[in-house]
Parts: sequence; C-alpha cells; structure tokens
Amino acid sequence: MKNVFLFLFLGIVGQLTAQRRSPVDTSESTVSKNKAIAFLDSIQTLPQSTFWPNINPIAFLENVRQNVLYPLKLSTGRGTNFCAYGTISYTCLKNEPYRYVQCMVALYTKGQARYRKVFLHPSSSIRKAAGKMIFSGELDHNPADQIWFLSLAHRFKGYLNIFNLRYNPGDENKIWAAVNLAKFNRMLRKMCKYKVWSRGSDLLRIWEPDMVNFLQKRIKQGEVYLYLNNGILRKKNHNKIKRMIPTHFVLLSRISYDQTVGQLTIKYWDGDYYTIKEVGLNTFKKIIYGISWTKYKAKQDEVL
Amino acid sequence: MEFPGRNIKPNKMKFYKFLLAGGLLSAILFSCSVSKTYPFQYYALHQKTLDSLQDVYKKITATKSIAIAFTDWNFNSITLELKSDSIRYIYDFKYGEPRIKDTLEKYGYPYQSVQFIVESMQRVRCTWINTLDYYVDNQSGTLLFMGVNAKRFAFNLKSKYYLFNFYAQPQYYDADGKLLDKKKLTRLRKINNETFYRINDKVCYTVSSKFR
Repeated sequence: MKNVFLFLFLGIVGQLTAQRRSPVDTSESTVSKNKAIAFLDSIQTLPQSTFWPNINPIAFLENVRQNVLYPLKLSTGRGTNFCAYGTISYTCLKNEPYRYVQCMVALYTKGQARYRKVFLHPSSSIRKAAGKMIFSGELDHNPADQIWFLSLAHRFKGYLNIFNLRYNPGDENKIWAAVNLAKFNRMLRKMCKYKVWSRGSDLLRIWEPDMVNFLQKRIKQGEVYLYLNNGILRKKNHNKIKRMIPTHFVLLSRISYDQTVGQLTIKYWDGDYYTIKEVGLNTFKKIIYGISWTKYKAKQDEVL
Repeated sequence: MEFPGRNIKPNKMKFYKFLLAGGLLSAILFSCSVSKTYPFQYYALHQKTLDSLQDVYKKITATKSIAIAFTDWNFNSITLELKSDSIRYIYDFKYGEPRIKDTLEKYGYPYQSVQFIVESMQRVRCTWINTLDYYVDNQSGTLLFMGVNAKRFAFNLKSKYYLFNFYAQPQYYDADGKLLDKKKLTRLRKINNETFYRINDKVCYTVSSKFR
C-alpha cells in the first residue's frame, strides 16, 4: 500500500515538474507581463532624459508598452544588422517583460542600467544617435528599440567588430553591429532566463544526420535559435554562385517534414512576423551553420 | 622564310601587349557596367503596363499584403509571400502550377488579379514587387517597390537589377536628380541603403546587385 502511495506521490510530483518546465512558464511570463504593465501604468510619464536628447519620453514609454503587449511585432528594422539582438530581445520580452521594462526605464532615466548580469552603459555618440535613426522602416519611429539595440550592440563585441568598435551614425548597417555565433551565445547566456547550449561555427556547416528530429526534440524542451545563410533561404539575387556563409539569426518555433514531398515546413521569427516557409531538406541542411537552444529550466543565479 | 612578327621591335611588342591588356580590361569593365539611361527607356516603354500593374496591386494590397518574386532569371519559379497580421507565409511554385490558385484562394486573395500581376511582371521582366513603409516627420507613407532584371555578366555568375520606387505623392530631388528626404533638407532618402534617382516626380530608380 505504501508503495502505491509513493508511486502516486512521485507521479503527481513528476507531472507538476514536467508542467512547470514547459507550458507553465507561459503563466510565469504572464505574471511578469502584468507586473510590467502595472509598472508602466504607475509611471505614467517620465521627464525628458538628459542622456537621450532625441528621445521623446511619451513615444519611448509607448514603444516599451507595445513591446510588452506584442513582443511578436518587435521590429529590427530594414537593412540593419540587428537580427541577432532582435532574436534575443524577443526572448527577453517573452520570458521576462518586467525585467525588460525596469531595465529600459532605468536606461532612459539614468543613461545606464543592468539586465541580469549585463551592464548597459552606452557611449555619448550612441545616446545622441538614438532617436535619429532613419530609413530603417518600422525602427524609425520606435525610439525605445533604437536605444535597446544600440546599447546591446555597444555592450557586446566579437571578433567581427574589431575593425569598427566605435559607433558612427549609419553603423547599424555595418560591421559595428555584426554578430558571430560565439558572440550570440555569449549574449544569450547572459540575457536569457534559461541555460543555453550550442553547436556549430561561423564557417563550417553543422553535420547532423537527423536534423529534423534533433531540432524537434530541442523545440519541445525550450527555445531554438538558428544561425543560417539567409541569402539561400530568401533569395535576393539570381547569382549562380552563392556566398556560403551564415548571415542571419532566427528563432525557430516549429519544424515538420513531409516525406512524400520531401519538403520541410519551418516556422521562425526574425522580426515583425512569424514566417512559415517550405524548404527542401538538402537546402535546409546546407544553410544551417549554428544551433543554439535553451531548456525550460531557470538559472538559479538571479530570480527577480 | 620570314615571319611578320620577327620585324617588330621589342618596344613596339610591349606597346601591343599593353594595348591588348587595356582592351581586355575595359571589355571586362564595360561588360560589368549597367546602362544608366536604360531605366528611362524602360519606364517609357512599359509605362502603361506598369501603371495597370500598380493599380491592380494597390487594390489587392488595400486589404491584404502580398509580395511576389521570380526566383530564377528565366521567370519560371515564383515565390509568393502572403502576409497576415502576425504570420508571413512563403510558398515557392513553378510558373503556371495549379497549386498557386488553390493557395491564393485558401488565404482569400483574388486569383485573377494576382495572375494578372504575375503575367505583367513576366512581360516586363520584373522580378520582385512589394510595398514598403517609409516615415517623414513621423508620418508614415507607403511606396511600391519593384526590382527589374537588368543584366547578367561574368558567365552569368553575377546579376544587376534596376530598382524602381513608385510614390503616391510627388517627391523632392536635388539638382543631380537624387531623391531627398524632405523639401527643406539636403539629406538623401535611402531605401535599403541605396540612393535613388529621378525618373519623374513620383518615380525614381537605382541600380543594385539585389532585387529586394
């Protein structure tokens, strides 16, 4: 009889833990989202920041609120190198909107802030440039996103950035904002709520015989990010020789394989939208250079 | 027996070699360049088709957004990007495939109108059509963006495109015909990091290595 109770007890505990590690996280983020909105409501308005002379406080708060309410609509702009920062920001907004809001308000009012262990302290050239970004589509009129992306690009540096370490206006489209896989993983580890694993490199493609199964398993456990060659996934020219380098970061949310057609269907987020696209299995294998993934198990280092 | 080349002095030989090398180099350079006058001729030649294409495209995109691309140089492969509020569906087809109709109807797009656009694009060698948002003084506007196949060179390994912007309102240009952001500023407006040049008040173009 004791064994039966023990079995039942373990079963219930196991069930609760399993729930806690996957779908229940959404309830945690809902709580965080409600707290973030309440926090924004309590602020109502901010005085014009001396640190960000070109950022209107009303537009700033509205942008932050929209990001919390609709993280999916976060825009990384047109023609910018902010895809990696956008992907990580989407995760921050989805999992810890309250932490994001606190960080943004501190960044606006004090010119510096912490997000987890990341200390954001953008330079004066960045503070002057934020709010004046033009010709980047939706990003033009999202001042808070300009602050956030520029601050992240200023804070994190990789080997791709060594020739352009100081920001000049227009550098958001250039190598100053470029991200390699190691830098992406470093950012993700420091900013993500969950533990992070990764495979791949900047130059060599991943060899994984059962790629679909591998990714499906990771998606079930947490969040999956792909470092891929977007020039092949979404063509921009008809050149016969394509550059075999990764160019883009996306958050993969679903992948399925139809054996009869030999086609994969992938669903991913890379700014503004979820994209659903059919792609051949061989093409897909050719374009993947890096996979980073998290497991829904919160780190114990910091709990807000 | 004498050969004609034997009488040529070494200095002259060098000169001929230099001339040959220069000729080859200029041939390569000219074959890689794209005519700057052609966009004017192209627009004049296809104006009627482009106008009707714009009208139909605007009617479709008034309710639902769609972007169309020909992903091969010979206009046999089509990509449709169908956008809802939060999801963008991207489908690849062969030209004339019956699946196109089913897909468009599934997502509530008028097949006949889309087919008209696709046929018009093929006729005028337009490889990409889309709408883009732009902002002036925090006011948003929408422009029609088209990429047209211009030239292939280096054994068809590289391609060049003419990109056309169609605005609903007349735009401002500087003395060199470069598109300006606003009336009073001398700042150029860039779309996809490219400077555009005037064809008329509402239409401008540039040459690019990407069609979108």
